[in-house]
Amino acid sequence: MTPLELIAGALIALGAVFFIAGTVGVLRFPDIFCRLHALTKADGLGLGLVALGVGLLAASPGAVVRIALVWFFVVVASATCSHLIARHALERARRERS
Amino acid sequence: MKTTDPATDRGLGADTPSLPAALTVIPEPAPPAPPRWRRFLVAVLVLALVWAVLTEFQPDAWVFGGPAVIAGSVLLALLPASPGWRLSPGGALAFALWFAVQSVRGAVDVAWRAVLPALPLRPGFRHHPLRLPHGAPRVMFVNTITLLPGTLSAEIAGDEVIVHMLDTRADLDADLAALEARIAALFALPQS
Amino acid sequence: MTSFLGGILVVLLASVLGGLVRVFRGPGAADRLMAAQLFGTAAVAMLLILSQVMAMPALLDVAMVFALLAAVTLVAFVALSARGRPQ
Repeated sequence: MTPLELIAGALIALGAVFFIAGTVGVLRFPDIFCRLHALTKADGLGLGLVALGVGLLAASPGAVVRIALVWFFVVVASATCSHLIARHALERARRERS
Repeated sequence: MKTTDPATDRGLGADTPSLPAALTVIPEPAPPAPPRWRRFLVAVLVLALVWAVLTEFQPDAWVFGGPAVIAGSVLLALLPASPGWRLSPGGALAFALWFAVQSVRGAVDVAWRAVLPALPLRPGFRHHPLRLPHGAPRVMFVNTITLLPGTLSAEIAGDEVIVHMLDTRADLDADLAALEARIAALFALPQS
Repeated sequence: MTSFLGGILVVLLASVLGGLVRVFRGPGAADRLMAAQLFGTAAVAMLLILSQVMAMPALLDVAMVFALLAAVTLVAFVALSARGRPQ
């Protein structure tokens, strides 16, 4: 095992830890807003670490660019999507009270 | 408890924070929106570059990619133009580094709260006035709030953003004022 | 390395199974849809790792489609539920 593989493996394993923490948050947190925090932040960093690790192992520069693009799309989309879900939940709560 | 419930209280609640003096962006007319043909050309260039990298410069791939690039760029040029903006290279670099650190902090913070047996949460909503100009700076601001520690942008109500906090005891105004200053630097906005 | 990455894949699969529990419990449609976002992100991570384990770079393109589709699904859900709302 080369040092590079060791670093990559550690990054990927740490990423998996954040995925688990994100899921634990989604299951334990009391309402949808708190769960969204867990989902966007923990899973976002989890994917970032996995992407970094896989990027270190990747064979071609093209693959590295692709991995970076995938990560970028997911982070931008998840921030926007969690805003949309939160707004949806707020509007729904308002409608149910009126 | 200094929290408001936006489900019943839209608009200016009792909790509307007073403006901290940290940042005032000097109102100045935004750069005019670029003309349609320029937005089209920029889109063609960017999309063609992405496609070329994705297909690792295989010429065959343009049979599909060429029309897709043109179609995407036409759609973009047909959308209503948003106010123009420019980036400051130094501000962008500083922002990227700061953002990386903050998003790691945010993820570690929420991961801890999730796994600790006591589940340390004191969630609630706060209003925060939007002081950055319309367009890209404001979009960037609202999206970045979600990745900072303990905050999530839940809704935009007029010139305010409703922020959900994991712990309402945190100093939201100071955190968001720092973010506003970073974004003002990123977009080379004049500040006092 | 391959067996190590295989173990990581199992861990990521476990996090997706946890998300399924959220789908069962709900309570709202938004909670369930949020789980879909979790599946999307975890699926992307798994595909990135699989592309390495199986030496199949094409899986990176699959990951990209997953990344984009998860976002489109969510936007469609929110847009459709907004349309059904009395103004």
